[in-house]
This record gives sequence, structure tokens and C-alpha cells, in this order.
Amino acid sequence: MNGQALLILAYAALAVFVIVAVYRTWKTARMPVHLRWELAPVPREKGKAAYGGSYYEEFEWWTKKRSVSRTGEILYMLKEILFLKAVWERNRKLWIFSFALHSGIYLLVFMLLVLCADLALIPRRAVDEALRAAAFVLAAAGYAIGAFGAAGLFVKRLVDPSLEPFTTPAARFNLLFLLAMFASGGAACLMAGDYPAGMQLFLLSFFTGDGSFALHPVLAAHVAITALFAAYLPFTFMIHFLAKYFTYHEIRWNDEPMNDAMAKKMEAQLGRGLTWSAPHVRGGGGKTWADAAREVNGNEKKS
Amino acid sequence: MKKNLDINDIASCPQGDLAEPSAGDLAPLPPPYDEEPAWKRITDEQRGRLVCNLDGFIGMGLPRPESPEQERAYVEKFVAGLKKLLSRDDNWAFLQPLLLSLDYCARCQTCVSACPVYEESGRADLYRPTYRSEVFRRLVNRYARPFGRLRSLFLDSDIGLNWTLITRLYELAYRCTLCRRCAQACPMGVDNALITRELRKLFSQELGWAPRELHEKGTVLQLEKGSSTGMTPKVVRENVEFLDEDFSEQTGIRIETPWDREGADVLLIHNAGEILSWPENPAAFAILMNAAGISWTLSSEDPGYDGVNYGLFYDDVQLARVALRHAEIAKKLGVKKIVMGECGHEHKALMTIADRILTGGLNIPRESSMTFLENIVFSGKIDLDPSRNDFPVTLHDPCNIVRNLGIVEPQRRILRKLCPGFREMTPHGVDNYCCGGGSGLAVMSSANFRDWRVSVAGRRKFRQILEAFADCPGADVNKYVCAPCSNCKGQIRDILDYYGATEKSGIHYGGLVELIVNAMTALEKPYLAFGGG
Repeated sequence: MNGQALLILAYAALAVFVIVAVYRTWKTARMPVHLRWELAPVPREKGKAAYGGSYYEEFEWWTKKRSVSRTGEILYMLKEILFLKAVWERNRKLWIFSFALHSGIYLLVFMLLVLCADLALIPRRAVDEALRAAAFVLAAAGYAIGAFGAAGLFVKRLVDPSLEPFTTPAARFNLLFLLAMFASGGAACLMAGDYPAGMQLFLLSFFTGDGSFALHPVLAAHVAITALFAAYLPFTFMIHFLAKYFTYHEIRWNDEPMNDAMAKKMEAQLGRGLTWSAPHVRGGGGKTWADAAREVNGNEKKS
Repeated sequence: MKKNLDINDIASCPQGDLAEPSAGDLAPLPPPYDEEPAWKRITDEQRGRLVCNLDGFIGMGLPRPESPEQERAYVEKFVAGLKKLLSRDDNWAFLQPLLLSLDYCARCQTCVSACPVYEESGRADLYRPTYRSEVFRRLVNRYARPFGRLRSLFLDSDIGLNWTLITRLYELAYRCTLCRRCAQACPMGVDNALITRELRKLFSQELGWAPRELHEKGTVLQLEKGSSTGMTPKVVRENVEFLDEDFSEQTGIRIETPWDREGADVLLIHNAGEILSWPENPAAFAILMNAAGISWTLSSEDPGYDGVNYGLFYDDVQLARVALRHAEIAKKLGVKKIVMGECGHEHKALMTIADRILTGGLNIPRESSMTFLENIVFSGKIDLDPSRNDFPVTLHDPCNIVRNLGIVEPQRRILRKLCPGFREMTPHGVDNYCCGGGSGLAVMSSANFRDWRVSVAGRRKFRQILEAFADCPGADVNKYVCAPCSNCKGQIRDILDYYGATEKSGIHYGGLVELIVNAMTALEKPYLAFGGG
């Protein structure tokens, strides 16, 4: 694959990734305001989060100023994102592979940042060499650990009787795709000569739009697979890193009490029609939620 | 029990049970409870009359269909309901949480070890919190979303949809207590309890199927008569007046419950079940609030004297109707705040879930009895003697008060102050285990359902109680399980009764306010029936 074609593929993949990821996030964010469904512990409760307490523990809580700590939230998320804390605590046998898979990705992202930093810095041979060496180590480790994780998860999902019935063809395909990405990257490290230099060449071309470059075929194949994966990713559940904002911040931790802004939104929601057909609801015919809520078991309210 | 249940098995073998649990599969209990009482079997007559195809237990009592046409009509309604759950109009209230939980589950099974039903059943696949969710997810992908057939190729969702499946799923929706321990454990923030509740909603709001105890004898009765107990305003006033007299005589303190006092500071709403089953609880509230000089009232307007809101467990429409009536009554009385009685689901329904629908003047401040009681205990207004509670006490954390609302410490501060023998269960607080009767299960006892509810769903709680009192196991020492929730008390009553634990181990149960009143020096005799000490 020549440089021009690889660049077009990379730009297209990035565009698909961004467009689909933004669209899915926007679609989720635009869903109607839901009723409260929080779950303790809410880590931003200052002084109470450690044991799961909330502002409801205060006598006449509505008269008290709420004490909130964003640090608690950030720490909670970091432990979850970096170390997969919940899986570590409850599913240790799976954690080994899942942690490896995620760590592999994090190492590779870090490797790309190191290479970009190297490109951005004023060239100095010692720094340049050190950064490239670091990038190589990060890449080799990332590909190896990531491949171990993806392969491990794939096999575990095949042989573990508690996972197998829940594993869809799409999940198996996702893991194989990830494995292909890691394996091709590992192969590039081994076979494509100076891997950091090759990858840096691609990055520089990507940022400048200059397609007059040629990569080692193995590295080119790896870049192509990675681009395809990036384009595929937002269509799948693997984009959960964006969805988690909503599951945590908008649902699990959203314990904001009623306020004027919310009341305005809710008036609109209660004006929505409902068509549920059970006898005690009798929806349809223009009946709204507000109408239904004022009835008694589907009949007019008693006078 | 059959292991390694496949997701699609739920639609197969219409004549038999999907799984056959046996008491021998259950996680063992310590002596003297190591011999499990035999489970009541479903009779042939019941099998002939009612749908029984899940696990040998009947909770729903769904009549067998009259014809294949009727079966088909229900299946079609089920599909219509699936689509309505995905509708912005029909399900705005929970659409976002539902879709996120459907679309972002990693199927990693990290949550399953958090589920007491699954663990205590001997890890039966059928009771995995993920099993019913995965069935539901595949049905949604196949029948309620565009390109269902195509999706089913990638998502393995080509699941057969038939009468057998929907009836099993209906019954299975009530093998979960909605305790949300699984949701706490999920790294993605997926909530299988929410999915279960959405399923229950589909059956109720579209097919008109809901457990009789929650619907006909629950919300329907409450909205028509005023209370799920069947008590009308006149009857409830008579009953409470009788209790006032009875407890005045018993305690030597004149008790007078105020009714419909406009402009009172506090509208107290009990779970009306307390008045009939645990009258010492509302009586203790009256004694304490009068002694503390609080301006308070009960309402005799229906359903203002019954904080029950079973809609929380199965139906958004009924939930909204009951919650709205509660708020309207408080507004009419002009009270400064509503205080929840010792009822967990009342707390959750009125304090959080209904919070956003109480617009305009209906957003009256609402407070938990836990903080309200704590304030009285630590106010210094009441003379309290902890030595009167000098017996082993442990605390059950109702899921709806603790895990769902984050009210953890106030009740503990009271117990630490007033009960020298207080000890925690393990785990406790927001990591607690459900009593096994959560989400309405505690009031469901049709056919042989009570056996499942107690011995499977309630098993972990019973084990926790026994462990909390392991240093004094004999019946010679009276012990007290403090359960500040009517639903939990009902379940704990049934657990203790099923295993004979009061006789064998001297374990009693009750609420929180009773312990406070038991410590009041103004009372000549102990308030608690077993005498304390």
C-alpha cells in the first residue's frame, strides 16, 4: 500500500471514528431527561463517600449547603479506568486478560504521544534517541501485553462455561480484530526495521498531509489494520469509554435534587403522550403522562 | 439444577420447567439449620390451572391461556411492549438508563458474584442477574430494533419468541429483588436490576400482567380505597385510635395521634402495614414525637395514611399516581415536610424516583425517618437509658434506604448510642445484602413462592443474621434484628418463622423507633415484648 492510499485510509478512519462517536454520544445525551436512579456510593459526597453516605443523611437536608468533592469522583474513575478495579475485586480470572488488553492500548496511546512529543521538540540527538527508545519499549510492551489480553479473552470466552453462552459472534470478532491489530504491530516491531522511525514518518505525513512516503509493508499493514479498527470501533460496544460518562455521571451519581430548571424540563416530559394499553393505563387518544398520573387505575379521578 | 443453561433454552421445551432447583443445591447453613425444610411442590391441579414452566415455583399465578390464538395475541402484545420501552414518549422516564444498560454490557459476568440469589442457589445459571437481561437484550435486538434479522447474525440474537418464553420471562422477572448489588459491581455502570424492572413494566403496562399482591391488592386497592391493606380512612382512624388506647394502657403514657392537622410541621406517612402487623412501630413514633414536642400529623385522606407505593417495583404509571397523591395531600395540609415512616420503598419512591415529577407546589421537602429520629435522639429532649437495650442488636440495611439513598450512618449513630450490644452484619452499609423480599417479593406468597423467597432469596440474610449473633447462638439470649423497613420486616419475620429461629436461637426482629422508645426512662416497663436484658 503506497503512502497516499494509507493516508486516505487513515483520514477516512479518523473521520468515521469522530463522526460516529460524536453522533452516538450526542444521541445518548439528547435522550429525554430520566427519573432519578442513583446508586450509593456517590464519590463526590465530601466526607461521606468513603462509606457511601449522601446528603440525605443531614437533618432537613434541603436547608444545608451540600459539600461536594470532585477529587473523589476523579480518583474513583482513575482507579476504574487504569486498573479495572471492579473486575479486579469480583472477577480476578478475567481481570488478568482484560487488564492486559486495556493496558496494551494505554501503552500504545502513550507511545504515540511520545513519538509526537519527539516530533514537536527541537531536535536534539540525545533526547531524540531516548524518546525513540522509550517509544520502542512502549510499543513492544503494548503489542505483547495487548495481544496476550485479546488472545486470553478470546480463549476464555470460548472455554469458560459461564462466559460462553453470553459471548456473541460480534464479541469474538472484536477480540480477533484487536488481536490482529496487536499481532501486526508486534510483527512490525520485529520485522519493519526501525519501528519508531517508521511510525514517526507516518505520523509526520499524517499531520502534514504529505503522501510521498513509503513504509515497510508489515508496518503499513499494521497501520491499515489499526485504521480499520478505529473506524469499526464506534459502531460497537467497545466505545463504552464514552458511554461510561452517562452510566456513571448521569445515572449512578446524578442525585441532584429537583430545581427550577429541571421542573421546566419535566413539564415538557409530562406532556408526552403514552400508548401503553393495559386496562389500568388505557393510553392513546392523546392521553399524556400528566393525564394518566391524575387518574385512578385508568379511570377519571374520584371527585 | 441444570448447569450451563443456554440463552435460547428459555424458548424451548414448553412442557417442562426450564430448571429444576433442589434444596440440596443450596449453599449450606450452619447447625442447627443445616437440614433444609422440604419445599412445597406444585400440585397437578395447580399445574393444570396455572402457568408453571420456570423452576417449579409459582409466584405469578398466571392462568393458562384458553387457546393458541390467545397465546399469539399476548406474544404480539409483548413485541408491542418491547417497542414501547424504546420509545421516547412511552418510556422517557427510563429510556436512557435502559438503552445504556442494554448496549454496553460486556457480558463479563463480573456482577454475578454480587447477587445473593445466584450465589445462595448454588450458582444456578437461571438466577444469574445477567441471564434474564441477556434474553431481554436479544429480544430487543431481534424484534424491536431496525434490521433485527441482520443484527441477530452478529449479536446471536435469533431467539425464538413464543408463549413459553414470555411466560418464563415474566416469572423470572420476579426472581430478582432489585437490590442493585449487581449494578454496584458492574464496571460499565450497567444495571441489571433496572432491566428487570423494565421487563416488569412491559408486562404490567402493556399486557396487564403483574403479581396480584402488587397490583390488584396493591396499587389498585390503594388508589381506590386508600391503602393496600384495604383500610379505608374511617377504618384506619379507628384502628389507630384503638392502638392509642391500647398502648397508653400498656406504657402508662397517654398517646394521642393527631389527624389532619393543617399547618403541622411534619406529615408522617407510615407504611399502613405497620398499623396491622407491627402496631408497636406507629405507636412508638407517636410516643416519641409527642414526648419531643413535635408538631406533627397523620393524614386520613386516602392514600395519605399509607406510604406504600408498589408502583416502584413494576409500573411507572401506578408509581406516579400514588406519589402524586401523597404530595397533593401534604400540600393540602400545608405541612412543612413529609417524614417517611420506616419503609424502604416509600423512601425511594417519594424521595428520589418521584422527585422529578413533583413539580410546582408539590415539591414539599421530604425527609427520612432515620435522620428525623437521629435528630430527636441527640436533641437531649428525651431522657434515654441505653442499659434498657442491653441485649445483642444487629442492623439490617434496607436496600432502598441505604444503597439507593445513601442513608447509612444516622441509624447507626442511634444504635451505637442506645444499644450497648450493637454489632454489624458482614458486609453492611451500602454493601449490605437484601433481606430477600425486596421489590415486593416480601408480600408475595402464592402457591409455593414463599419457600423460594425465604430459602433462596432470603438465605444470605439469614446467614448474616446468624453470623452476627455467633457469639451468643442459644435461645437463652434474646437478640434483636433491627430492620427499619416494613417490607424487610415482613421477610425477616418469614425467615425466622420458616427456620424456627426465634425458638432455636432467640432471634427477634423489629424496627428502629421501638428501640428508642424502649430506652425511654419515662416508660416504667420495657417497650419491647421480649423484655430485653
